[in-house]
Amino acid sequence: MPKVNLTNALAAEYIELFQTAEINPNRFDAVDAIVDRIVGGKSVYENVARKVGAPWYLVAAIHNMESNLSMARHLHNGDPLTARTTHVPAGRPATGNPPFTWEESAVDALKGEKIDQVPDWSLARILYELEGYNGWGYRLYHAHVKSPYLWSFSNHYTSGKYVADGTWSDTAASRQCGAAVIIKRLEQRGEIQPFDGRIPARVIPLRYANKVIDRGEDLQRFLNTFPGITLRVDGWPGDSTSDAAKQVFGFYLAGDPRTKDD
Amino acid sequence: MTRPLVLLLFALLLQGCTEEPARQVHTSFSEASGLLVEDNLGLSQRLIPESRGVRAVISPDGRWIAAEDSKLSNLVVVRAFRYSGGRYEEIPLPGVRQKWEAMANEAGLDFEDLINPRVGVEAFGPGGNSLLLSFRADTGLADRPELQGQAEFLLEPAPE
Repeated sequence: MPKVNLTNALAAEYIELFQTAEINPNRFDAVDAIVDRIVGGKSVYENVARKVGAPWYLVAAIHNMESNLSMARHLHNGDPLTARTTHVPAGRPATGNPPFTWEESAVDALKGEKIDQVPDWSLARILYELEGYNGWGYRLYHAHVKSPYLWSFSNHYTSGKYVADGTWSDTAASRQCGAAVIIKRLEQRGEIQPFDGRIPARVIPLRYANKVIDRGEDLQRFLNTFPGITLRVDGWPGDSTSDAAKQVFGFYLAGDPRTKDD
Repeated sequence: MTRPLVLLLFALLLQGCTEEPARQVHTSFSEASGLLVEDNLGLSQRLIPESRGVRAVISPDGRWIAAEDSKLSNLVVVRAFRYSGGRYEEIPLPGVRQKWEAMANEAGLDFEDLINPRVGVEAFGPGGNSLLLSFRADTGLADRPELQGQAEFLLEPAPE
């Protein structure tokens, strides 16, 4: 299976997506219900997390994605804990005797995916490991769709997924809350430490330009929230955008030719 | 008395010379190499080039290989390969989608709504003419969170 490397660019993408992720309003109750269950089982996730050296909420998020938080099934593949797994990956856990506890199974499954060998647990690394845990099919073959394994139920995902017979559908939409969305909600509710300290602040540029600039669209969207301003969101902060900035802030954008004499 | 005996021995010897040696088939899988099938007659064929994980089951006569292919961590499909002309070829199992659709519809869902769908290879039928598969998926429904089922699929023999 081709693997994707966690480059600086990919790390920045994950951080950007996480920062800008918004839970779809019509899914808010469903996300909170999942988070309630996860918080209720926190001590179990902490036990597993200690044994694999990973954040407890990563274990919880994977548990939700793989087996809908069922404690009666192997984390590997959903087979019953009363025996070793019989389906792919078969024969797990290789050691110990059935029936297995969910914790035993989870430790084995996570070690099987080398989660215990991850060198650090930055936000970008967490999201990278989660996407890799599921598989890189979305990123490699359907890059126009952000993996629902991470972003379903958020503004970063609308539709597109592999359906039950393994074929791709652009119109099918995941009915499962994404792992990153769960972590985002845990953060919002104060159940985990905020990631802000490790994330570079998002800066909306307040400068004039004769071309499309990075985050120029963010500036225009922000200005459009003020009464009477209806900018075209094209990422090109020229005269109109600078006029709007003057209306809101009392000064033109930096670099606007009209401020040369200031 | 001796002439018929000699003829019988000759016939047995002839049969032994013309009978093909029994095929012994085995498979191996690694993430780097995919699913490889080999036999004692020199066959070496890659059946699945890339996958997160594969569990392959060979029919008793070696004519079929059914493989659980983990396309994603929470999506497992079954692929069937039939031996014909000295090679294995993948044979579609359209009934698998129909089975999923029936299970989903029974729960009031669309086929595309199923969560964590996983198909498993349970067994080949007598004579290797059928394949028993298991199906399990989550639904996201509070009153019926999980669907499970089994179905047997007839396997069409290779043309002579």
